[in-house]
Formats: sequence, C-alpha cells, structure tokens
Amino acid sequence: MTLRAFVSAVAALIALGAAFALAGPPPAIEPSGASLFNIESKWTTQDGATVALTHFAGRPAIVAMGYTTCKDICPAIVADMMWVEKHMTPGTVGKVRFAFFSFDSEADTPERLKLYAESHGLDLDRWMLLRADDAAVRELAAALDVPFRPNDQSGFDHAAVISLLNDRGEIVFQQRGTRASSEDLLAKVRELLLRSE
Amino acid sequence: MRAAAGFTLAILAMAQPPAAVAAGAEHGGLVPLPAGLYTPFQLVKAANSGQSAAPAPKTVAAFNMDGEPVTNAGYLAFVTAHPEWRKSRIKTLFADDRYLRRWSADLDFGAAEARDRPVTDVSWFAARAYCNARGLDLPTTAQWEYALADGGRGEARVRARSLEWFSEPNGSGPGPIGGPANGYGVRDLVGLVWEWTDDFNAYAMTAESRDSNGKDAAAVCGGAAAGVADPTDYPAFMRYAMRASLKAHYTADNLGFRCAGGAP
Repeated sequence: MTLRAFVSAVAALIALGAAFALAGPPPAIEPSGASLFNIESKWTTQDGATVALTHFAGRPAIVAMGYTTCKDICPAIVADMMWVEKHMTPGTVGKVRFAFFSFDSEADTPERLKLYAESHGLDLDRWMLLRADDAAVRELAAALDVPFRPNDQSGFDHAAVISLLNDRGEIVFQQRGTRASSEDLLAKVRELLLRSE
Repeated sequence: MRAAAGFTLAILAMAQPPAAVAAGAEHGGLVPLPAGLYTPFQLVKAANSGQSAAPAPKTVAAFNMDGEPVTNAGYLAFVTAHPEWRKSRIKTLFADDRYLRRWSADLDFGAAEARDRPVTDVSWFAARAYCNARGLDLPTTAQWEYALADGGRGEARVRARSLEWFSEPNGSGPGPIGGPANGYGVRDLVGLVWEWTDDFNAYAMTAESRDSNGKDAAAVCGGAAAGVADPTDYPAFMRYAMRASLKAHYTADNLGFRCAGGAP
C-alpha cells in the first residue's frame, strides 16, 4: 500500500467514523448527582407515549404535580404556569417545556389528560401531561418535595409546588403556593435561557 | 451480575457463624398483622370549610411487617449487592452528605456491635430501595401506627417508653434490636430509632402553607391537617411532627426504617 493509499484509507475510516457518530444518538450525558434524571421511572403521556424523565433533557422545564379532577388548587397551578408561558417572548417560549405530572394513577388515563389539556387550551407542542403508577408518583413527589396524600373524596390533598428544571434536570427554583403573577418564576426562566445562549 | 452477587452472599451467609445467620434471618423476619381499624392521629379540615372534623377510623388490610428495624448487617448485604447505594456512590438527589456517616467505608459499618443495631443515616430513597430489593415497600404511616397501636394492648406502656426514650441523650446511637415483642410480635417500634414511612410527608401540608405569603387556602388542595385528635398523646404528636419535618433525602443518626408488604 502506497503512502497515499494509506492516507486516503485512514481518511475514509475517519469519515466513516464521523458519519456513524453523526447518525447515532447523541452521547448520553451522565446526569449530575442532583439531577432528576437519576429517577428511572417510566411515564405515559397524554398521547399514550412512554417516556422517562430524561425526555426533558436539553431544555429548561417548568414542572408541577396535580390531578385533573382537582377543582381547587390544580387549575391555579396550571394557570400560574400558563401565566409564565404567556409572558415569555415569542422567540423564547418555544425553548421551554411545560409538564404536569398526575398524582392520580387510576383516573388520569392518557385520554383524560388529553381532554384536560384541550379544556385548558394547553399547547401540546410545549406541554406534556403525564401519568405513572403509584410508586413512581410517590418517588417523583419526594424528589420534587411535594407533600401529598389521598383524601376521602377520591382526590388528593397536596401542596402547590412549581419547579423549574434546567436542561440537565436539576431543580434551580421552586415556587411554593400559587400567585396572582409568578414574577419570580418568570425571572428565573429568563435567567436560565440567557445563560444557555 | 446481581444474581451472582446475591448467590455469593447466600453462600457467605451459610458459611457464617450462628449470630450472622440470625441477622440474615431478618430478611425473612416478617410478622403477619391482621386487618383492623386505625384512627388517624390528625384532625382534618375539610376543603372550603373552617371546621375540623375528628378523623374517621380507616380499615387497614392485613399486611406483613419486619419484626425489627433493619440492622447495619442487613443494610450491608443490600449495598453489597447494589453498589449504587454505597456511601461513595450515592446521588445527592437521593441522600444528603451525612448518608451512612457512621460507616467507616462503603462495605464496613464500623464497630462489630453495630451489626445488630438499627441502620441509621439512611434517606427515604435509600430505605425504599432496600425494601424494593426485597420485594417489599416501606410501611405506610397507617400501617406503622396500626402496628404500634397493637389493637389497644399496652397503650400506657408504649407512651411511657416513648417519653423515657425522648429524654435519653442521643449521643452513642441506638442500642441493639430485640426489645420486647408487642401483641402482634413486632419489636422496637419505639425506643431505638424513628422510622421512615412510605408517605412520611402526607401531613406536611400545614408547614407548607406557612411558606405561601400567608395565603393558607391557596397553598394546598383540599383539606389541611388542622390539629391533633388527642392532644394528650404527646408521643403521637412527636411522631407526626418528626415525619412532617423530613425531606426524602434527609438522613439522621436516630432515623432508621423497617419494611412491610403484601398480604400475609
């Protein structure tokens, strides 16, 4: 083999390697110890798709827990998240995901989650509603520090907690309780987006 | 790999002297508890009402529960088979930096006498993973309190022992398991360590509402705990206050756990 043939063979191999690297999935980034991506539970979306929490990698996410038949605080939680969505610029709102995780493993089927999204006018390009089994719910609630318990009215008593995750699944801010306007949360979202630019 | 590690452990357990077998037997140390009624300790304020109602008794289905808290020896077997729960590898999401702080190394709980003492400095996540690895769960608060209530037997003794325990200094850590069994055959529910329950934070909502600009009504969905059913039951108040003060990644020198699961 001439030197030239050798060089071009090596170049071809490198090109081939690069092509494989480009075609393959992005390298999995090991989550930090504090990342919610260390949680391995699987969730079902309003469209019936199965996702892990790592689905929320790559972009900031505003996440909360509730359930669709909740008449009291849950609509207020969703309203607070929508308030943030509404107050973002058209250019940045697409860079953030919004997620609503249900406590109600039994009643909140994908169909029910989808109806809830529709009735609240949630843009499913940005929003995701998710359900899982009781054990997964309890684990996520623990990680997000959302106290809850089933109540006697087939619902749940729970705290209102909206968490802001960065693109690596780390909690960077929490709003506890609902607000007329979630200014602090919005400011933190903007700050995150600025930092990632 | 895990199966192989478990197999090796099983061989080791068989090769150990009788004391170690006894510690290993803790894994089969479930005690069956019959179904019965349990009255929650907390008064509950109904949604949209200022009135707090006395809690209604709830049915607890029959279940199994560890007869004693999980020991250091039991926990060592777990971290041996599940390296991700060793103190050098634990994720900060799952435990604070005091996790297993009394252990001298990943697979060394230190002094020999720690073997039969309750494992402490474990988080809720870690305790739960341990139970799950045995095909079990942490007991619910209702199950745990039901076991302690012991069908009404020895109530005065439990209160007295609790108060005595509260007044003991924590310093040297909990003593060995093996206290007197209650009517169900369950030991050491009070007197050695506080214990994690699966829904430890179920009654933490009152503390929560204080953080929300004074808008108590807006901080929780539905009802909020509104006091205690029996103000004279100070130990019960302490247990609920203790649980409500925890976060799932917290660890403490006097906080351990036991497992529960399925119908007997």
